[in-house]
Amino acid sequence: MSQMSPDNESLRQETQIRQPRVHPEAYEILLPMRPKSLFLVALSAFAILNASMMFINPIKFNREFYPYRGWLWWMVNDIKPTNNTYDVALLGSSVMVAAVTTADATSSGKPLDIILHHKSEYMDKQLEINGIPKQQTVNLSGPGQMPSDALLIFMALSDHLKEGSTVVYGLAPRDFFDSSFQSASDTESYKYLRRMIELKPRVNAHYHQYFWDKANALLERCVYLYDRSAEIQTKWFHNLENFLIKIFPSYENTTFTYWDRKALLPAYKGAEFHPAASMCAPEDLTKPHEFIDNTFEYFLRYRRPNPAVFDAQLYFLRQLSQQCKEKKAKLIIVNMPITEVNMALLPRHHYQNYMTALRDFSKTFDVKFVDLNNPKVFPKTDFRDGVHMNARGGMKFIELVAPEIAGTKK
Amino acid sequence: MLFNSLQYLVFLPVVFLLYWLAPHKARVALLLIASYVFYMSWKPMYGLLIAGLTIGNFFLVKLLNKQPERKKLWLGLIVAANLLMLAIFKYTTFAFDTVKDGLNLMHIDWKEPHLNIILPLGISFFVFEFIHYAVEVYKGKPEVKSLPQFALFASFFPTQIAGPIKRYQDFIPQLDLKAKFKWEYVDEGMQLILMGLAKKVLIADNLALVVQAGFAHPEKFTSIDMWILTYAFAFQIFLDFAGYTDIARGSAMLFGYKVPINFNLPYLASNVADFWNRWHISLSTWLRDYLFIPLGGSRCDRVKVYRNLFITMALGGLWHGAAMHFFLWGVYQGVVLILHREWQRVSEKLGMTKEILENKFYHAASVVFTFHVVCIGWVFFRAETSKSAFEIIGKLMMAPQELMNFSLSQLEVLKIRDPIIFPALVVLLPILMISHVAVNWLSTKQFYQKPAWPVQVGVMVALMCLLTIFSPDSSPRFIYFQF
Repeated sequence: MSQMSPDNESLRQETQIRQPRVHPEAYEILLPMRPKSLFLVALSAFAILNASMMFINPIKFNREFYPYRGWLWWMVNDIKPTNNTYDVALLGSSVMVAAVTTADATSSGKPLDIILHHKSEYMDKQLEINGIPKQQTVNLSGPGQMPSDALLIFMALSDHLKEGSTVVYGLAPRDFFDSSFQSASDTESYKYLRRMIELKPRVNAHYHQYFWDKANALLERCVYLYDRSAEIQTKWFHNLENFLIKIFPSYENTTFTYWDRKALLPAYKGAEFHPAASMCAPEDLTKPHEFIDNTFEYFLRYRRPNPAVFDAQLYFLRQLSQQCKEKKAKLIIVNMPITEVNMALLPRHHYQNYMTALRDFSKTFDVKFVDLNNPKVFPKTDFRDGVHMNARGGMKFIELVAPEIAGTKK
Repeated sequence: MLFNSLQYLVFLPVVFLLYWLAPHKARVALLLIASYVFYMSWKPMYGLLIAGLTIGNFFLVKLLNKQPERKKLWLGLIVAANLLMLAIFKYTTFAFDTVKDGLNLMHIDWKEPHLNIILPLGISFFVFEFIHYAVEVYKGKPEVKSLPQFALFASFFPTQIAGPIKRYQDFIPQLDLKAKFKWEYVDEGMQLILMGLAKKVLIADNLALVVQAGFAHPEKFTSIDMWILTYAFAFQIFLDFAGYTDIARGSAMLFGYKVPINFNLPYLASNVADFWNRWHISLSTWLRDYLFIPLGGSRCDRVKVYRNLFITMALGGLWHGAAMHFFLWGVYQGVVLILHREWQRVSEKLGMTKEILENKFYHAASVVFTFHVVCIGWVFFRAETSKSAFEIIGKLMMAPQELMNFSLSQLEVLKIRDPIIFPALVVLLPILMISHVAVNWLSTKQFYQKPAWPVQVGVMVALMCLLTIFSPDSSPRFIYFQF
């Protein structure tokens, strides 16, 4: 260090600029001897503090609390506080959401708030037509839902299913091949629902496939404050809000809405939803529906399929079937209809692998498998883009699934 | 790899342990490998770019030294080659856009080529280090003998992405020192890292939210609100960059290396020239040594000095980003520096006494005035376009009129509930401003020179707790990464 050029003032440390203290001994004699490393002392103090907090557990853990109001939050808070029980549950990604909600909106002729609509009235009607009256269907599907998410949702809400209920899980290749998929532990379902349900360590481990996921999970398990950060942050912000109200009483009466926030900061809490934020309008079945080309999006999604993700999602599907058995629910897996254009984006052997895996799963676990992906039955006019059905497709889909459900009930 | 990521939390201790376990001879190689791992974790291909530039500069400077009669030619070639690389990666798209805009004004429709160029992280910083090295060797300073040492100078991971811009004559000798492990390195390094993370994660990232909203939608805020949001940006950019520098210096310190400081309480500057002595010091000294002085510096007539100042600051602005609003920020800095010199000249002519200039009230007023001059500059820096910058400045100028009938209930920031940082600004900003003054006061009382060790331990434990609670899942990148 002595060889540093003295003319470079940018290198002069702040400590070098200052004058030495006049009487350094003045207070040092009052302190215990300086340890060899202050950082090690600080780290040890932090470790002791952490261990004590883990032992005392001063911050109450509210299993149902989650500060982020995503799609799932609204679904769980709509269903969980009620005593309602259902005969049929629908699981799946936005492919299922689109089919069910457009069918309901169009058949009822009323616009539906997707965030709050967790039924499938059209399915209930079709079940009645198929000889199973007074059935209640709950729609537990949600955007981006993969088998890893479906398992958690089923576990969290299975108390609301009647004994002998039927679970229909609509699957599509993207649930196994999505290149944009990060990690099973990085989803809203995992972050929210893992608080609510006890996962067996063996199952939980499958949610942390990658090194950094594992490291993060380890931190959550070992560092109390990290694990309770959501609770502490919420409490902190609540206290801050109260403090601000005390200083600025007018702040209490502000009417800042979700919509104001979305307009001001669209990316902040980007995946948060709000009632009326996502409406589904009834469609005029006499007119052709506009088709949106989302080929490029799916080109990106299918471009680099990860075999590890495929295997992991199959594992979660097996777990779901086991959970259904434990809850005495019958599982039906449905290969969802998608367009030929979208199919063409998938390398052929990938689709074959996917279908073989579903058929093998169905045989091994004695699960009914319904393949509805047939362009002759679901032509392009049944879709509003490459994978999402419009009302015509959605209604047809439900009409074809209802007899399969009825078959399990008879 | 970001400093505020889990990856870095694992990477740094691993490199630290290997470094101190390795024999002295292997340490440069080890840090070099670690630095390339760090850089290539972002985009492996660009590892080749930094390696190519390093090798090219190393051997070209050797040639410069070997052929004294062609020294000037070699220097010109080296500087041009480095600037060309910077131009290709950073300014090509900007140049095309500018040409297109110019042609549009003449009603000529030209379709510019779409080049998918991704700016290599840190290129502006290591290109400046290469130019500094070539110029210093040209001036007669000794060249670096070892290629691995030179490669480490350019790629040293703590300073690789956003500086501070190092001087080779300060850094290279440190590599030769047979340093022995000292706990002081860990203590000082970790204190800096924790402080840096706190500045970034606890304050700057939260301020970023309000700044984003304010500068994207100035129409939704009053004039006083816009001043508050501009102050917020002033502290966001300071704490973001100062936080980054602290982490960089702390990380280097863990290996026993000292890198330059970059900030010295910039918002306590009493004039703009003083501000540039306190803000991004490693850049301002680089601009002074390798641009302002070669242009003629201040040893020429007044008009030429002003020209030199203007060119230096305008190019300094453009260095920050390939966009017109960065250029305008540089131009603004050049103009205010010229005005400051004029003011000095006029006050001398008017015979303003030393007592007035050194008066405490005059000094305080100068600090407040300078802070506001700097803040207006930040509007050019942060605005999304130059048009929007002028609109925001226009709005800021309406403040005196608004202040005539001001009441707190008019503030839009006090009407926003989520994120709570909006109303909290009214409390937070005065704290940040006072903290600047308090840090300076404590500094004059030599508090930081050696505070009582329990205080240091307490601060570290408190920061560890706060960072554990408030470290977000995906903290935004440091602002200066884009340069």
